[in-house]
Amino acid sequence: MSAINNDSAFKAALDGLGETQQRRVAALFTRQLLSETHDIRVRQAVETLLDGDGDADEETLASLAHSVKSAIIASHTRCGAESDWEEQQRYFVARAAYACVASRSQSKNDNLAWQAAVACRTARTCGLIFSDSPDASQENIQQYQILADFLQQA
Amino acid sequence: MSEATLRKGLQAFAEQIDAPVAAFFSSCVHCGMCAEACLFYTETGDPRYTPIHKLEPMRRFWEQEYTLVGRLQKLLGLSRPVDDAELTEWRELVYDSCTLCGRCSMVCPVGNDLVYMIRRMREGMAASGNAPEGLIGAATRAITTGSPMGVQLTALKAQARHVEQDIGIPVPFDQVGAEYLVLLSSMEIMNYPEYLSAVAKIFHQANKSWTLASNAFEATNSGIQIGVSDIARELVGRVVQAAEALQVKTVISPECGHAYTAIRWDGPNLMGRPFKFRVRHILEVLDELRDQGLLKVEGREDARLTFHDPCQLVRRGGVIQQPRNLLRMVASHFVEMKDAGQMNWCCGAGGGVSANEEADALRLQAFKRKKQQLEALNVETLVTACANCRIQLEDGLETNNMDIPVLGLTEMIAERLAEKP
Repeated sequence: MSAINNDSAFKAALDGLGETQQRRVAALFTRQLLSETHDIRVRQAVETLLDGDGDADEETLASLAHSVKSAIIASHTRCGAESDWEEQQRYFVARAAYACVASRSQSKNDNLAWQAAVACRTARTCGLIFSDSPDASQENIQQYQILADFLQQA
Repeated sequence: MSEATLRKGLQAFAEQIDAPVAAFFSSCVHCGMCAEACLFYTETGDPRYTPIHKLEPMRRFWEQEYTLVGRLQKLLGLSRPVDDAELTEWRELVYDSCTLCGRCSMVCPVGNDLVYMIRRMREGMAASGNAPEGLIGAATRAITTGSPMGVQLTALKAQARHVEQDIGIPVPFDQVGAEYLVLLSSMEIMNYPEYLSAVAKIFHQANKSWTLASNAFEATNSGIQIGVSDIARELVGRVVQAAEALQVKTVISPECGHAYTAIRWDGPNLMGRPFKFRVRHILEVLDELRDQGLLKVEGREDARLTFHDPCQLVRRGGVIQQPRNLLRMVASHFVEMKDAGQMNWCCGAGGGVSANEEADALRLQAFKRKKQQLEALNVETLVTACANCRIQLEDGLETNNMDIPVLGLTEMIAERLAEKP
């Protein structure tokens, strides 16, 4: 296996995973940001996947997706409202969690784990904006490592 | 905004009543056809939501000030003057229950442009202190920070860095001589940064130069929504100044309906001169690229999907065919809603309604029409081209337990771009 140290290698490795593995990895990415949200629906979705090694039945996934979708709608910023980047971080964590449990037809992209990865990175960026940090997010580097560890254990 | 008073509100009415408004009031035949075109009326059955009725205080003011009969009635105490209590009562009708969608203007048998009149009435409502708090906040932030949501340049730059990192394509700022100046809505910066990724990918593939402007990245125009022309003019002026300084050929309005109306149709009139650049909606630009063979896609979306036309694009801008050309490039099962295109039903949240918390219950009630349209089609995906419509559609679908993903068309095209050779 070639080293995962850029997004091309990262995406290619994610593309090579089956659906259950993608969900598991997506949940591992999202777990990194769970401390940024108090929303029980989001936490429950990620924890269910992690407890079950990403292998949840369709009914469970549908139920989790339904409740995480509600969490997304509840946390988005309404048009014209004053920006709150801390709240916005929660919104993107919810979007990452949704990628973990969404069905293929609900998903915007075939690669569930990539979608979760991007949402997690955006969430981290929102956190940096909220804290007025000039730093760029290093979430991608952490994700490369998480994926490498996952592949090694698989 | 300066202190609002009834006197200022009535003065604003007097300034806003021009020849078209007078002609429209004179020619109304009270047929009620505008009611059947308004989703706030059709979905509630409440006759107060009849579009022409929403204008009643301004109509009476016109009659009392500018017609002989009205003046006599006022003199004899047969017609009561417009007062603060009445304008306060009318706030719900002028702001909460009107999205400026323009469907009523399309059906009026005598050609009255009711939206034109509602927008003029909003000028008086804002000047008299009867605009909703949500819109006042957004307009104030737009003037002081450049964004109705208070999004700072540092936040945009952080999002741009994030996008660059994800897609490996630069997001340029302040590039003099770029072909396109891309505007964004704060909604896209905050809720849908994938729009910026999509634009970067598409222009990269098409080999087109583009830029954002540090001092004018915001497209939305709260002045148009609240009804304060001075604010609208100031916000358009910032974009014009940036576009001219950067010497761009085309300014691109993003996936936002009223932003397009503001910059493209109202803009030159607000500035009192023609622009030195073109203004196009992003869908118009994408369709031009398609037409020139510069938009190359691969693969198709198999899901059965439909397109929600943003009102400002179809009824004010005539952008009807472009999204359909684009959808046919990337979708195998595109189906149309009844009344699609020019007469499409509004999502229920445009024209500042979504920024107005007081209107939340009503806008979700208004969504029932869209719900019916979607149920009739049994689609798996809904596509649109306005971030504000998108939020309302997501909210309405969720409220009604309808599990249909909502996508932006620009993003959908970008997802299917062919690899650059």
